[in-house]
Amino acid sequence: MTETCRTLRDTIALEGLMPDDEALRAHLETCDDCTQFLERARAVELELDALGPEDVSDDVVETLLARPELTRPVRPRRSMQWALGLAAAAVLGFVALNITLTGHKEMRAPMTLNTGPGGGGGGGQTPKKEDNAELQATDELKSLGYLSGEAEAPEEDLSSVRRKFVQEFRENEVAEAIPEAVGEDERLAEKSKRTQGVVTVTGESPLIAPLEDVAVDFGVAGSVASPAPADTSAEEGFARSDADDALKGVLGGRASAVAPEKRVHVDPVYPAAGKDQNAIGVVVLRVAVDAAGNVTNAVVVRSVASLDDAAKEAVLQWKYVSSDQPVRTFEVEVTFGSEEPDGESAAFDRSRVDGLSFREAKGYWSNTYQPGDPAVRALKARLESAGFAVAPHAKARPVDQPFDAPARGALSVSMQADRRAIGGPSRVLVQVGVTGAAVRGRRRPPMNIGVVLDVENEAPASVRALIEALEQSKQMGDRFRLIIPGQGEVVAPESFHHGPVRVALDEAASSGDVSAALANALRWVHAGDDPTMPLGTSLVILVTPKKLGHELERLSQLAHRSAVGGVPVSVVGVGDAVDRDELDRLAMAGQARRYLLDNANDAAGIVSRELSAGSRVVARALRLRIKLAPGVRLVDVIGSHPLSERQTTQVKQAEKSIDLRLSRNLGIEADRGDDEDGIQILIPSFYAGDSHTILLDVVVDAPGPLGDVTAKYKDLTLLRNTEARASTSLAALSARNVYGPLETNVSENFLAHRLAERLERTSDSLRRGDSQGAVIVLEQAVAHFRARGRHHDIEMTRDLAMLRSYIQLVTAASEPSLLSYLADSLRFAAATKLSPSAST
Amino acid sequence: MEIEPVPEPAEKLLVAHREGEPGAFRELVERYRRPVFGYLVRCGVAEADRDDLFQDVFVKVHLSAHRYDAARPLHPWLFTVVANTVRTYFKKKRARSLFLVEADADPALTVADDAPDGEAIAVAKETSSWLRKAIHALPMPQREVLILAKIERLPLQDIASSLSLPLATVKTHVRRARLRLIDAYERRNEARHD
Repeated sequence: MTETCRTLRDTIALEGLMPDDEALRAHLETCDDCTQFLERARAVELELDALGPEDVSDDVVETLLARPELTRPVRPRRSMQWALGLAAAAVLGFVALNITLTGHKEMRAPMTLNTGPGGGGGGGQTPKKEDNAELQATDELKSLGYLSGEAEAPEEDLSSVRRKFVQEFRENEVAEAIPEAVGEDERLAEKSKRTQGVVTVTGESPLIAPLEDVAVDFGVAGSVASPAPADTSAEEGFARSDADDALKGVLGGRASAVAPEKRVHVDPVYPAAGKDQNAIGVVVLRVAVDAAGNVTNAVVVRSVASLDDAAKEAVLQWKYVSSDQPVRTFEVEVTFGSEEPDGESAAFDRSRVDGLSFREAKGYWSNTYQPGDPAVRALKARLESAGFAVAPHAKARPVDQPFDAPARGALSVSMQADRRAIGGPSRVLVQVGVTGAAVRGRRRPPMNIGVVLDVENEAPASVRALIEALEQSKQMGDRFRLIIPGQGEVVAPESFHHGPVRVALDEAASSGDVSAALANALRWVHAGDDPTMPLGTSLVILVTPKKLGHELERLSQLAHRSAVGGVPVSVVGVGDAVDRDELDRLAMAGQARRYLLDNANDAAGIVSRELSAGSRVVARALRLRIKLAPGVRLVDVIGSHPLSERQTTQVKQAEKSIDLRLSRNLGIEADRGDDEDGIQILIPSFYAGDSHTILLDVVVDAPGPLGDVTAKYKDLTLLRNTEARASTSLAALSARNVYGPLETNVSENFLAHRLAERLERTSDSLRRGDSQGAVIVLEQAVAHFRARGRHHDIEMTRDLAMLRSYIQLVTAASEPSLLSYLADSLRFAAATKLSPSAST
Repeated sequence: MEIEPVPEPAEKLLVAHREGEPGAFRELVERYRRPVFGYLVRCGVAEADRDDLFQDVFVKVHLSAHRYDAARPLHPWLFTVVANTVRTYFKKKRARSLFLVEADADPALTVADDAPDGEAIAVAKETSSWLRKAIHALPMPQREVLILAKIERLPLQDIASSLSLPLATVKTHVRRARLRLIDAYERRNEARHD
């Protein structure tokens, strides 16, 4: 499409007519596409013209005309009344401003994230706040991700944006690393310089400009907050009287629509008073900028008492791009993280190497890889069925893991530090990564499935579709059977074909005890379980449209016993009458899945998932042994904990049980039983295509080896015991190339862990009924992420948007059902953040 | 030959009502009942709420009549009241829909990036016309500008003052709205041919 095509189409779209312009008309004669466009436009215009009139009923008109309000005489213009009204509005506005200043800034701020200079508000025009509440509400919802918007970056652009950000991040990291190379004195001098305020000149970058400028040095950040409304109306003027009056008193100018691009950034000096109080938070200021880009005035609109002056002092030194507007006003944020890594901040700040306590780098530690965790699946199902329109957890995305897929075998293992080199004693993150083979095209093993169909009278269409989908998925060696309470096994494995299945469905009428039917089904399926087949290939599916009531307890006991014996029990709830909590409990007891079947279209998907569930596991009994090199001291295994003696015994028993079973079933030699040196983590099953990371927080005294990892596992793709190894070391710091993409990935995983912890803590606060505490945790997380995180990272931007969504929702929510929903949502987001397959 | 009386200009009707002339307000309502109700329908106000909102508009007209400047045309002034009433309505609806899924919302219809809420979508489901659905799927600012420009035939400058928007923004909304409708028209034709 040429420029002329675009001009022509814009003109047609604006006027709805053939354009008058001769050149455009001439273009039409030569361009078939534009001619077709004009024809379509004409057709639309004709249809618009043909829209019939809409009329209200006469009754409504009569009701209107009879309304008592209309019997009052129209008020004459009275200047005195107007003045009194204005005075009252001023008082109300003042009160509103106070409420605003003490409220949560995040409820207004996030518009910044998708809006850059010239990018928002219709080409620099920001509509009046009062008159355009709808627009603003839409923008806010967009910025929170409830609605997608034209302003958002297309998905395909994210990778290029991300690459650029990673590049810039790497440069920043190198710049930060250099002081370590030049000795402690220089490092202290550098730190001292930073605390005195560092001037950073921001270059022009169309990609970076729309996002925030954040200094990462010691947790102090400055950024542009939401664009201030331009055309401040009279009412708004009162609502913002403090800030605006202070500015207007000096400037007498007109507020600017969009925050301009910042050219010079000065970090605030963290005040001694703030240190004493361990103060962190976000100070929001309304600034006035002259035509040359100098900040000429700044008024605090959201205060963090001990930090206001420092924020103001820094902001007054900032410079923006020049403009022909004499005065521009907008809001900016200055974020303070605590410089001292105590308490909350310690979770993020890892610069300290002295005064730490260390753990023994040996023994069994808890497993953090939990794909398909029944609890998370139950959580997901609850969220989906809760009926709330908002789903902030949908923003939670796991970190993209850059691990290579295994060249041969089921798993690959890697070991990676968060930097390539050190100059002296350093706190380092060491990441162990495990990746499962994709195993594409792997044929599923023969399945041994019993379906208990608890339906009264005729089976509904959705149930028919389910059983027919199962029948159509049948492959050589499959043994499917159909059991109906009161009727027993109505279709045996050898006759599970279209005809007999259809007849059984026509005559399906459950008349007996569903527990007895399940017990029978389990007995038959267990009896038909082929010991040469892998685990998970035998299962029972209970299909029910009813509440289970008093039968739940008995059914759960049966399901649990069966799952322990190697045959899981899944549940399919049909229609609206089922109790989802009951089904969740039963599916958890049966160590399998729960589905809701509302219509026939869902049936094939359910069958497909059930049949593929067992065949997705590529490795069993994965034992990771991580040995740290001499001189490397362990601070923590992030997200994990050492197991007690009793737990260790249980884990070893489970490992031995899998070992023996696979030896018996698949002929993979039993090789487990002995303990090994180092940290040991046992992962029972690892799924195809999954990735998992384990992060170790260590202190390293000098360059050299960091450690090694060995992964021993039962390889279900090669049907043998397999071992994979990896190791890593740190070089002596020379100058550059300290941080690369792989090192960045380690930091991102660390932040993902920290985010997940805070989301879980917020969820716990909500469960305790402490909404205020929940908001505080979230706000602290926002402050820390802004201060410590790499603000130009697109994932970080998304995480911050998610946190702000939660702040807004938790602040607004009061209904117990909604609070419970948000607690579930937070926990689910935490699980998703750490594992892509948490809920599969 | 019977000569039909020339109707009073609408501006005079509101002034007359302001001055207490009986019957003037009824005539004003009769004059504007279709355009106002049509605006409510096309903007996506739910059927259950339209009658109430229609009454609200005229009650507001009555209560604000003293602010009307008789030297200016009534049409844009009145549609300022209508547009603000509808915006307030959607604002409240959105606040509610933030937490509650509309029972009859069809996710498949949520195609527009900043499409109307579930209520408006439900309205779209009531209609059979693709065009009505396409209008309901427009973002609110584009929808209201298009309706005022194309259906209510308000000049763009009047729309700008009615909605307190810069003229350039109004033009942008009109252009984008038409482009979306043309696109919807094309997609509908393609679907029919498939």
